[in-house]
Amino acid sequence: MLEVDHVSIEFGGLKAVQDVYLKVNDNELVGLIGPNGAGKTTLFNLITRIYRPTSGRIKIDGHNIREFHAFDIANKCHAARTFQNIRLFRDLSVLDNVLVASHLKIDYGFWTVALHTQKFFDSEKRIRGEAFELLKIFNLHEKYDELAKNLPYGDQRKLEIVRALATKPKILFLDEPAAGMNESETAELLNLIRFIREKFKLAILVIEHDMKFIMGLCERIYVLDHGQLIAEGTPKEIQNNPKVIRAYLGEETIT
Amino acid sequence: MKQLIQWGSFILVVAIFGWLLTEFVPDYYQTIIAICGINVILAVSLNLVNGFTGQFSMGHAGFMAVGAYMSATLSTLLLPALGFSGEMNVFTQNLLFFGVLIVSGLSAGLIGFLVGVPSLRLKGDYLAIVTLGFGEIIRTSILNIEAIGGARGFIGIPQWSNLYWVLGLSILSTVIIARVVTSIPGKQFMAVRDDETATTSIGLSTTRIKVRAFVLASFFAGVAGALFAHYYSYLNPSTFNFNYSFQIIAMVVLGGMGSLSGSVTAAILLTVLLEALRPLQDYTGVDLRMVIYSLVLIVLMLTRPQGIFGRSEVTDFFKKRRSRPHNA
Repeated sequence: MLEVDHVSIEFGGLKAVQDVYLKVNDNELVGLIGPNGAGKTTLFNLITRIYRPTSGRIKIDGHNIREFHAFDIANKCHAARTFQNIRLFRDLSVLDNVLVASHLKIDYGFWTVALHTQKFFDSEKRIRGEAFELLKIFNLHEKYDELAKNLPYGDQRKLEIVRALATKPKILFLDEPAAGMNESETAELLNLIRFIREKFKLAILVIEHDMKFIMGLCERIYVLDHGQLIAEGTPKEIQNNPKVIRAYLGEETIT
Repeated sequence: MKQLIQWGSFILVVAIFGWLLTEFVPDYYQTIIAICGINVILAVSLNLVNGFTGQFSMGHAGFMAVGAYMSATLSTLLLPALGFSGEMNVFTQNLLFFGVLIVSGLSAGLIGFLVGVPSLRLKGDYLAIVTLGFGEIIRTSILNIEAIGGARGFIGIPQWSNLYWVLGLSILSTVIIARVVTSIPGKQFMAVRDDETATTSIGLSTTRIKVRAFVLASFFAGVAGALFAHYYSYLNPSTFNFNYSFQIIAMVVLGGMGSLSGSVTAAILLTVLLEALRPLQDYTGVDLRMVIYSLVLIVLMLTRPQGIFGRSEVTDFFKKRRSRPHNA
């Protein structure tokens, strides 16, 4: 599904990501961890074509993403993402946030809108209905008319995921979904992510620096430190990997 | 059926009010009403760019000038050359005027596209700078083309525009833009305003959306220009200076960025205010109009920085809470 092939990026002299190799299979739940400043978000921005790699190749759903504009990643590679600092359309309603993301379902043009033909009402009703059903799955339908910025924090995170799902992705990138959440919210999120994977049959790549969260969630984990991949494996393997322990806890503690 | 009723009532309203205004209102007030209508079209269309899409265009009068001069060239120079001149029956005249309006709108839209594509790719204040410059370029170019009057102005434009046209088109443009921004595709404009990165992440090209808003706004500005040209039957390049662009921005900001009701209200309010202050000059001997005009703007912005309507619409008061989408 996702193939990151020896990718590097430099900002001036700073090598933010160096020679990273990463792979996510269909319907797999993979974690990407690392201490602060390890280059996780940079790698995410490379995968979503916000940055262009200095060298290396990234393939999503069989397409080399170098050929695309950033906005085509969602349409042609069927990849959607969320952001570390929530990025909702704050002044739009909950339903509208999902509707904007449902743009691939729009089957009518300017004249249909300007003249308000029957087709306009039929299509809009259908798209609205589908968006509402999607909100229902995540229990956000009661708040469909509220402005996104007025939602509680947890619901904002959830809505961002729902909006990403509205683009019908085959792979979902979650950038620190548990950031700023307390224990019970984190536990709920854990179940939510598992549920999404089952229900929508998609692959998920999660960035987190909360070790516990990622260990309980992912089948396979990649560890980044100082822009380099230092380990790869199952949660158990990662937990016992001396390189990972050193990266997280520092040099002296391990003797 | 519903369509027929809508069109029927639209034509009826325009016919009745157009007739009442032309028959019973003194000429001077008719002119003010016409300017109100033209300014409504300009403010509502600029709101699409500056309010709903969150970009900052400062050259709306430039697009209006393109439409105005295009229409004047068509009706005064091109059509007579094709044999349409002198007296003609009402039907042919209005049909020709309709064609002229469309072509003027389209040419302003095309210019909007050419200006928009390079400048809307940039973020921040670049659009304001580019459109500001563009407005001046248009004005200076017209000033130097002798064939369309140059600095003397364009004279002898047929008086095809009237209150029926102005009334009809200001209603029509407002309704069309209202339908666009309330539709699902129209929400993309507001998505760009709220967060460009997020808009890109769900598969939408922000440049494409911004250009769409810009071209649509330019089209309506062009139509407003054509109405203007054929109402006064005289055009002068200095009309379309930066001052006019700024007045339209003032209407949008005062009414509320992202509220069409606000733009309509503010366009009428400011146009009337500017005219109502005109007699003041006779008493004082100096032009106090702009002083008072700007004082009103300052006071309103201090007391209500979000504009008269903020982001709400008149229709919001009638339906407090919308019905659920699945049984809407």
